[in-house]
Amino acid sequence: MMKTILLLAVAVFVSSTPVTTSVKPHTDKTPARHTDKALLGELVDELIVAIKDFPKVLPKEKLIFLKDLQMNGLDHKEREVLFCQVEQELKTKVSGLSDAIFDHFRTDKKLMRNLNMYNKYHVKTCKPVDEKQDEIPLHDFLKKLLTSVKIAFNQVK
Amino acid sequence: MFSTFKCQIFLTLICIALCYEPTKEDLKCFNDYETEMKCSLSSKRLQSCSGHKLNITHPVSNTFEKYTCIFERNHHSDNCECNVTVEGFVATEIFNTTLLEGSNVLLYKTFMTSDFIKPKSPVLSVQKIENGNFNVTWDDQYEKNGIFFEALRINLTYGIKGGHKNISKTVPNTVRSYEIVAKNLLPNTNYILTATMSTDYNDHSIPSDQSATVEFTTCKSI
Repeated sequence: MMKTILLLAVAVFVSSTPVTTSVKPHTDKTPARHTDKALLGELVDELIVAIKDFPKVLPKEKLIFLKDLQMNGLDHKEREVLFCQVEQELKTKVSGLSDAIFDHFRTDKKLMRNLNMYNKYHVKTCKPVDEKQDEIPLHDFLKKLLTSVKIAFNQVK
Repeated sequence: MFSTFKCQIFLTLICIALCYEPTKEDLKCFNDYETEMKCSLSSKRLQSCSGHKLNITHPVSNTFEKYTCIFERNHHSDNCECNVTVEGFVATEIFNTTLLEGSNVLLYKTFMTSDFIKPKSPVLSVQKIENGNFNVTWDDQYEKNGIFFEALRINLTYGIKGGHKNISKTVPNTVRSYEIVAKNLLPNTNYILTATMSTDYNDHSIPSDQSATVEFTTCKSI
């Protein structure tokens, strides 16, 4: 009788243990090239839309300035550092602004999410921005960034 | 003693048979890379969909989006199905799912967005053109353009209606049209055409559901 109960108990226990599976486990390793291509390509798309939607003329109180980061003539590693600093600049100075014109830069929107995922795969520690750097308006910052992201995208292609 | 042992084995097997044990293959999820994530649960031992749900956690930047997907019976497929609306997809983001029956956890499964993209089915259109050929066009059903749409490709399949041999052609979505050359077809014959879409984001591993069939008829003389 005891053996029966024990077998039944084992059977119930085994069958009720949840199975843990992953389709593909999330890894901190550098993703496949087609993933980089997807992230950078999507970032290009989102930046184009964000630049198009952003007003060309803004009242003084809505002018936002970001550090004039070096975005030209960079190698792959330097560009990885740049993209991380770009994310930090946008997060600290733009993402939290309430006006609708800054919607694209919220952390739950695709522009920032793609940038965030790219940086998660490529950068372990973000190098802080040089505070002595000059500043430029957000619109100019975005246009320079778009050029840099396009170069990175073409290099992955 | 031997009959007692047989009884024990029998009871064990009964329990194993009656206790629902989903495997990872039983739970399938797909996203259309726009706004929808659809999941299905299939198992011969699943008596009812009621009480089964999927808790989904989706890390986004420094927060977590949470969704609950409640399964209902799909009478066409006889599977349990549910769907949730997501505010846009990003290629490498993760969805952590927990399959529950009531409060009982049955299964954990993690999906990476790009791996489980199943594009929307295309909507086909065929028109006979001046040179007698057939111009196939399609609507990929996506509102926006961009890198994702450039990474789509359409897999066209056509053949004689009621026949067994089909011709398949794959073209990039960006091409937007494909011309079927009439002289390669039989005259005065009905043909049917279907298509699926797939994406480079996951090496074209998951095709869309097949499109609705469109028919076209060749001229009496070609």
